Amino acid sequence: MKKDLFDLFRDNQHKLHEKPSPRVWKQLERRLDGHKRRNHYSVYRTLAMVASVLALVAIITLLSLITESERRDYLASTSLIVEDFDVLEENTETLRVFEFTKQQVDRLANPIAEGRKEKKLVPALQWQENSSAKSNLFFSGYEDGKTYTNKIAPLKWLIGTWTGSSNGVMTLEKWTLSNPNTLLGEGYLIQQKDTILIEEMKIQQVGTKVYWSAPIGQPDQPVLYQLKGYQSNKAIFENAQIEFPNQMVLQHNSDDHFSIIYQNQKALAVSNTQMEYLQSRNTFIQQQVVRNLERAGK
Amino acid sequence: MNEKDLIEACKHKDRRAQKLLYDKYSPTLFAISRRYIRNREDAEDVLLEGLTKILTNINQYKGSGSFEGWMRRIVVNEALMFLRKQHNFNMTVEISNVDVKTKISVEDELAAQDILDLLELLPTGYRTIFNLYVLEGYKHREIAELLGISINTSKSQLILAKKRLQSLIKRSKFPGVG
Repeated sequence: MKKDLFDLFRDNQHKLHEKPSPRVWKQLERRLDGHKRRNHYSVYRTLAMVASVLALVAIITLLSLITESERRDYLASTSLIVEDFDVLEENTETLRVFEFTKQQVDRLANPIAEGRKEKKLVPALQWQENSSAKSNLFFSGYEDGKTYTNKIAPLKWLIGTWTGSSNGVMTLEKWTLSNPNTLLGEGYLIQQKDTILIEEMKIQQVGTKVYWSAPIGQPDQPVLYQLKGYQSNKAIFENAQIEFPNQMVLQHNSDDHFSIIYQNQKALAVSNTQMEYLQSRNTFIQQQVVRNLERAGK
Repeated sequence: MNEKDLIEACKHKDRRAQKLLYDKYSPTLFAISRRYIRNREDAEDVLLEGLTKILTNINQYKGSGSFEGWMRRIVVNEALMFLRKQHNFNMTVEISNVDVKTKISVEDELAAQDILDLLELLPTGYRTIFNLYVLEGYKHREIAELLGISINTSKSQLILAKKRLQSLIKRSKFPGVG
């Protein structure tokens, strides 16, 4: 009877015991003491807070009782002159405040307004294509009678002007929304006083698919990468036909920083034994071409 | 003191009970940390963090599952948090169609030190996934979530880990393993 390698480990796991060095208990004790003291103090602090609140309440009650009895005495002792009050003119300011308050109360009572008939709110879409990847919710925006939902919306953070440097040369990138389905990017290099347009990039929705296009080595024929999905802060575009790079990753690092990473999704024709060797004493860093950009003016 | 009383006493921050708990469980918990973290001092730091969390949060243990299991999960989480700071689990490449069949004769035994030595020889990614799947019993879906990788990466890394261990065992000729 043969056993599996995994079973061999599992069956012998119970043998794994190792006493840690004495410093571990010493440090643990110190931490537990510190924690106890903190709790101790916090009990006193809480009691002190409760006591002071109670004292305040007592003082206020006492004061109001005193003033109440004083008032009663005063009323009893004096004779009041009752005036005829004229009918008040309509106070527009008061009315405005009243109306506003009424609106707030109504809004609280009915929090969800239906909105106009032709504009409907659509539930958030969950990206299903790569189910093993961390799913990312993004709002599809409004349905406006067309059969597809707008998928460009989640990338509108790109809009604006960005700067970066590449091999010591300043680069400028401007992104605009040229139409609801297209984000247009212009990439420039800045050399002394010249700003030279180097490339035009697009993120475009065609039907239900979204494509990144960039003139990778061929200015007249931009290469299209299809958006495969989102993983955390990354939008991943792919084109398996390209030898390198077959993947473009648009990584939204923060409000003011993003990166464009060209890489290969899978290693180029490396056998398993080669991969094993490569990973045995080395750190595997994928071959990547990266552009890091930050918002201009920051 | 039985386990129930020990836990109760620890909930009341009885120092003697806390020390008893430490003496009883720290060797097992330390062994867990050692499986994930190569450097002994780092492994002790992870154990310290884990034990601190165990003893200060012991009121959260409601008795519905195994106490040792609850403690083990805390230590594994601490180990993963430590590893995530130094190792980018996402930098692994998915390898498709890796198939490994291993059969080892039933007389084979692995000494505790052998296990640790073998695990130490694995790259961090392989070792972590191996530990989580084989010894902690997590499923690939759970491992993928914990490490922020895809299920396929978890599966292929495990298979590669298995292959590597096989070749290490063969090469090193561990006594009793053939």
